[in-house]
Amino acid sequence: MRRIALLLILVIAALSLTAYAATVSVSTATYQAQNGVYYQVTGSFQVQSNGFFVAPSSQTPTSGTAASPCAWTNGGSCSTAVKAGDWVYQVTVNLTATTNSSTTYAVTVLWDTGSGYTQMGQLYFTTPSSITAGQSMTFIFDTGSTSFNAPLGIVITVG
Amino acid sequence: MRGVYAALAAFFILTAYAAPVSVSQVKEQALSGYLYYVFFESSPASPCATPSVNTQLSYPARTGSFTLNTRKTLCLWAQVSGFFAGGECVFILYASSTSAGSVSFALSLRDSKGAVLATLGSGSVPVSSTKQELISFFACSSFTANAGDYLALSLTGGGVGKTKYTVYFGASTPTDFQVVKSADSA
Repeated sequence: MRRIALLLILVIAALSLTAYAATVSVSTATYQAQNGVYYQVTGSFQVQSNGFFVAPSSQTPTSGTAASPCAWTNGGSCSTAVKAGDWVYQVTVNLTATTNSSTTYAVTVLWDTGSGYTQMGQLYFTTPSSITAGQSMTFIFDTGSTSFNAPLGIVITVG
Repeated sequence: MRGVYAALAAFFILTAYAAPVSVSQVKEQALSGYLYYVFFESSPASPCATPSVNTQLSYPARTGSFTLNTRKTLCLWAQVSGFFAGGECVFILYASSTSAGSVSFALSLRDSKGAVLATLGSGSVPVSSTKQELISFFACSSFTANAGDYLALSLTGGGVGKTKYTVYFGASTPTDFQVVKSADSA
């Protein structure tokens, strides 16, 4: 009888440990929001938002899609199709020492001008075969709009 | 008794195996968030001595222009409060001039009487006789504005002689400045 009781105690203790461990590990993968800004605690790129301006001319790029990613060019740019007169948004991505080489990533921009986050655009690029931390490339997204209101939230994901 | 120990061992192995599965949800990526304030000019720039709001956060429907003379300074004003992260700010100027020149600008935090509390950033844009959008990305400091404080973007006509600058604002020629309210990245 004592053995059965001991066994029950051990099973309960094991179940408690399982439940506790599961809760802790899930929390590490959760995004958080504060004052309209989302953030996460991991990353292999440095991302700099450059703001908005009106496109002076139209552009029809030949790369930047998943099927045809932009090749990494230090100091270069990668753009969605741009219509003259639309507001465009610019992001600079910097390589870091932990960036994987020869890997294709997507730069995804979400924005919210007051009615919820929607995708502004997505551009694909391939990192160089040899990573040099600090190298940068500019990504240009057409907002598809000739006007917008502020304040506005921006979320940029590279991954 | 052996069976009981075997069952317990199997249970602990399964527990240890199950726990790290959720960690795989953290994939390699960078995520950055920004909250932008874009102050569109909505009426002509005004003197820099006293605050007079002439910008708005909504896209302006009205259009207009004003003249800025060489060595003269006028200001765009915006009322702000709270903490601003700074970082890379943007100034967009739609302008033309009677001869090639430049317009220098400086962003400052002012109190309700117009006194400068902090200079946040500055720069200069070249202007020509062609009416065009001139973009300047400039570094600006973080700051905390109290209720009743203002941001002032001063515009000073550069060059020598009598160069006149025409600055346009409003729909289709939206002179504005952009400030990062908050930012976080990883």
